[in-house]
Amino acid sequence: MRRFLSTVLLAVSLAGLIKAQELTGDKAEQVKKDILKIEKERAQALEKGDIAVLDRILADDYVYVNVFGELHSKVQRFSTIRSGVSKHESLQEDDFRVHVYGDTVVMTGRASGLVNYRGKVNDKARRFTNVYIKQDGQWQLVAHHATTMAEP
Amino acid sequence: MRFALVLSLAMLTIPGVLRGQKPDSTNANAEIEKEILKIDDEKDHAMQRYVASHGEVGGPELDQIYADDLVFVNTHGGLLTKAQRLEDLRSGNLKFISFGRDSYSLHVYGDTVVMTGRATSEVVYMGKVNRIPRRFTNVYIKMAGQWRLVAHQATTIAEP
Repeated sequence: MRRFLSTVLLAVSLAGLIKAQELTGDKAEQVKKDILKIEKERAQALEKGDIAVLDRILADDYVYVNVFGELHSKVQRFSTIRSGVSKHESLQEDDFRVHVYGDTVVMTGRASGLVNYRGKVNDKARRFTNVYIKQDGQWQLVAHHATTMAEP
Repeated sequence: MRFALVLSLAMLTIPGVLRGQKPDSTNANAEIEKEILKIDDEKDHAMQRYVASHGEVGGPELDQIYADDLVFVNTHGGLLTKAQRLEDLRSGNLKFISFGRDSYSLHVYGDTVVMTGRATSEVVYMGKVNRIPRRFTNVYIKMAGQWRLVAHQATTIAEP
């Protein structure tokens, strides 16, 4: 009994030690597929201004840094979308790199399309980093950071 | 004896399995926040030494803090790997005139921490002086008991 308990404890311990390494293999590939699906839903919801879908995807403590370096909470982000201050006329994303660390996913990508922000249209490509965390069995976006791509 | 050893190991590592928690203000998170601020300061100091010495000093510290699969997005939207970032620092393309960080916030999710902040460093990059503050996001993940930077992105703060 004691040996069995030792084995179980050791297995759990080792899982705890290695869990934060980047995952590879079938499990990681499935997570990547799940994240890219959510990412597509997020892009479509931004184009439509669909707050209900965004509310499901964005964590309550979501932090958003836009291409002007402004830091917005989820409430502030939704306020700019509802009011029309921020409107994605079109949005395409590509060049994804997805890193899976257990219940955390860090992904980078490139976004293009037309964004109307505070009355000005921006058509420049952006590089972004998204951080997804699995909470209560559901992947949620906790951070999005965007930077305009330009020559140094 | 063997059982005691296994039990000790389990007590040390089982808390790490509890992940994906929502951020809160518990003492445990306060401790994690302290650790992150310390490691972030160590990273910045090592980076300054590394830049000033063209890669002669500070390399081992950066190598420990930067995860091997680090993704680094600079203020021009360039995506760099760990090797590319270290080369960028070593090359002399970047020089620090001054170094600073005047605000930050941390969100703790078990073994993952998302840090956002405002950097006020004055830098020269490829011959151009940049004194404009930047907003940054750092993502730290605890790997084998050590916090490591897996992602960094910075954006120059500008009027929309």
